Amino acid sequence: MRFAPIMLAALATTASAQSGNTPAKATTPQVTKQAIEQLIAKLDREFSTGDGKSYTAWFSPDHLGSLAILGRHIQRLGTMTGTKRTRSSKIIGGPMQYPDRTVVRIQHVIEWPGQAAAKQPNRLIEHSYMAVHLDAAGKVVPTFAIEMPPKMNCVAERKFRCPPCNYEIGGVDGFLCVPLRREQSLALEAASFYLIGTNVVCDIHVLIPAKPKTAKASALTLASAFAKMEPNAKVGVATDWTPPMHKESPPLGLDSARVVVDLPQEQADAGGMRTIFHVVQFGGLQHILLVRSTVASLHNHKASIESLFKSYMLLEVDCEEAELATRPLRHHTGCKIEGSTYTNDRYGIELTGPKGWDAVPRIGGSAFRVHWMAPNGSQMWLLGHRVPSGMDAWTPKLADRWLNHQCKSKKLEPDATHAKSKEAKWHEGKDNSWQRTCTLTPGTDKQPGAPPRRIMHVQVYDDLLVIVDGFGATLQDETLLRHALRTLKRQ
Amino acid sequence: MSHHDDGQLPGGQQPGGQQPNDEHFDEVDAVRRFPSEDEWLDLPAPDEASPSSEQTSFADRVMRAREEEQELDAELQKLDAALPNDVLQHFAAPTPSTDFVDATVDVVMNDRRQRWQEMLSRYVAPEPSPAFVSRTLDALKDGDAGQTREAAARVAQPTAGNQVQGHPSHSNGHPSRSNWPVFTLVAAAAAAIFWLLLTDAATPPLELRMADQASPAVAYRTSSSPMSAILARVAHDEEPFALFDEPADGIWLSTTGEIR
Repeated sequence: MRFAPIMLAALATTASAQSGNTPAKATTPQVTKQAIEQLIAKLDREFSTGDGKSYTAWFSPDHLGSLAILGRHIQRLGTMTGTKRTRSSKIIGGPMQYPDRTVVRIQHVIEWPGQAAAKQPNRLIEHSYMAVHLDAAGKVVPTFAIEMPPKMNCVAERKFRCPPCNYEIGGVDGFLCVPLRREQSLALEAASFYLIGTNVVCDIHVLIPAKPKTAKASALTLASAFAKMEPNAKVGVATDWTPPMHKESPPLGLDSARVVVDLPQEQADAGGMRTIFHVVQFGGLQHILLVRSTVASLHNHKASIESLFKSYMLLEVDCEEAELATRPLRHHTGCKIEGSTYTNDRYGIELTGPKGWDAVPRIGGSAFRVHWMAPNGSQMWLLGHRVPSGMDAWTPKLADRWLNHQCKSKKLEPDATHAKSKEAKWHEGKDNSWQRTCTLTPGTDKQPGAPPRRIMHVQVYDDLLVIVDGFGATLQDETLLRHALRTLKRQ
Repeated sequence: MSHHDDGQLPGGQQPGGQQPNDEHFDEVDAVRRFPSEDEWLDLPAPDEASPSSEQTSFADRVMRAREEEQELDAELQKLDAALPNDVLQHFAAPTPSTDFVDATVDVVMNDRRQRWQEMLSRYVAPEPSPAFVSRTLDALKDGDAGQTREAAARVAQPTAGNQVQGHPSHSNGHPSRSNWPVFTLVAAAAAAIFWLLLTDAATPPLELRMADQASPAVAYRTSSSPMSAILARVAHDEEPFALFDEPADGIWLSTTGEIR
C-alpha cells in the first residue's frame, strides 16, 4: 500500500489523543447538526482533492483500525474515480447522542466522468456512520467513521435481531451497531458493535459449521487461525463460557466456550491488544462474538461490555426443532437441498449433483454456495456471486478478469488444447446468459495434492455470476461431473 | 522384656519411621517373637477354598472366552460370505495417485515446519525497553571514551612494559587484543534494536494487517473486522481445493491499474 506508511504515521501522531482508555463522559456539550454539515462539506472537498492519508488526517481517531480501513477505502475510491471526482454528502440519520460523541448517518454520492460516449457521469452511492466531538477549542472534530451497507436488515433501535438466525444483541447505551456486508464478513450475517468514544469493539458473526465440533474446538480453531496470521499472538486455553442470559438455565443442547488471544507487543502501553473469541453453538447454528480492544480499555469498560453480553440471547431455545439450521440458510441464501439436487428459490437456480455425492451448503461471502463430495474424494462446487459493490452488472469481460486472477493465484492454467474448443469460448445460452466451460490444469508450481485436472463452467447473468467447478478422482467421476453441470438451469 | 521392646513398632519399625538397621538385628529376640507351637495352632486358618476355586474359575473363564471367540469368528465368517463383492469393493482403499507420496511428504514437512515455527514463536524474547536501549547506547559512548583513552595511552608507550601511571595495561606485556569488532557488533545490534523500536511505532493496526493478508481483488480486503480474514483462513484449511469462493471487490474489478 503506497500511502500506508505516511497515513499510519499520521495516525500515530493522533494516537495520543485516542480516547480508548478514558471512559467517556456524558456531560460534554452537544454538537449541532449544522456544525456537522459544515464538517461534512469540508470532508467532501478533501475527498475530491486529497487522498486516503489527507482524509484521515482530519480525524482524531477513537479506533485506529477502523480509521485505517476507511483510509484504504478512500484511497481505492480515489484510484477508481480519477482526479475529476466529486462527492456530495448529506445527513440521513441522527444526530444520535452518545457520551462525549455525536453520531450521524451520512449518504455520500460520488460522481466521476464516464467514458467519452457516456452522457451521464458514473455515480456511486455509499453510506457511513460518523462520530464527532468538540475539542478543547470548541472545534468539531471527527473521531470515527465507518462505511456501511445502504440497506440495513435486522437492525432496529441499535439492536441486531434476526429471528431466522435465532438471536438478538444490542440496544445497550454507548454501543453503535454497524452491520457488515456479507461479501466482506464471509458469514451468513454479521455486525460490529462499537463502544463509541473508545477502542472497544464486539463483532458478531453467524455461521453454520461445515463439520460438527464442540464449541471449545471451534473457538480454538478460530484462535489458531488468528495466531497463524499474527505470529506474536498468544493463544490461551479454551474455557467454558455461557451467555449471561442463559446462565441460570442453559437450553438443552447449548454448547458455548471462549478463548482469549493476547497480542502483548501491540499497544504495550495499554497492556497489549486482546481479542476474545466467544462461540455459541445451538441447533446447528454458530454465533461468534469477538471482543477486541486493549487490555486497559477492556478493564475500563468492563461494565459496558458485560451489558452488551447480557443483551445477547437466543430467541428460540427448543433445540429439537430440526429446521433451526435450515431456516437461516433459506432466509439468507434461498438454499434448499433434496437428495443431491440443489434449488435456490431466491435466484431461481437448480442443479442436480452426481448420484451418491453428498451435497452440503456452505457459508461464505458468496450469494450461495454448495459443495458435493463423493466417497472417493471427487468434489464439485456451485457458487453464485452477486454484482460486487460499486458495479452495475456482471459481464463476460469482468467475469474473465476475476476468474483469471483467481486461477493465477491458485496456480491453475487453462488446458491449451481444450481452450480451442467451442465450449471453452463465450457463447450465449438459451436463458440469455453468457456461458463457457474450461478445463484447468495445475501449472509447474503445483499445490501438493491438487487434482491433475479441474472442470469449470461459468454462466454470466447481469445480476449473478454462477460457477460450477470440480474435479473427479476417476474418469468416470469426471464424466458424472460434466453431466451434472449440464443440469444447471436458471428460471 | 528386652530394651528392644521399648517404643518398638509392629514389624520392627523404629519410632520416627526409621527402618531397623541390619547391624542391630537381634536374632534371639526374633526367635523369641516367632509364635510358639501352641500359638501357631491358635492362628486363624488360611482360606482353603480360594486357591483351588481360583484355579477352577480361571480355567473355566479361559475356556469360555475361547469358545465365545470361536463363535464370534464363525458369525463373522458367515457375515463376510453374505456381503456381496461390490459392497466390499466400495470400502476398498482408492488407488493412490502417482504423486501421493510426494504430496504426503510435502504436507507432513509443511505441517512439521509450521508446528516448529509455532512452538518456537512462543519463546521469542520480548522487545527491549527504551530504557535498555538508552543504557546500551550510554554504555557504548562510555566504551568509546575508554577506547580513546586507551588508544592515547598506547601511543604514549611505544614499547611494551612502559606503563603510564594510572592507566595500567590489560596486555601485561602481550600484544593488546582489539575490542573494536565486539563494539562494532554491539553497536550494530543496538542500532537495529533502535530502528525496530522506531519502526514499530508505525506498525499498521491489527485490522489493516489482517486485511492485508487478503488479495487486493477480494471484497474483504476492506473489512473493518479481522474476523473476515480469520474465517477465510479457516475455510481454506477446511477446503484447500475450493476455488472462487471469495467474493470479488468491485473497486478492484472496475480499475485496470494496480490497486492495493
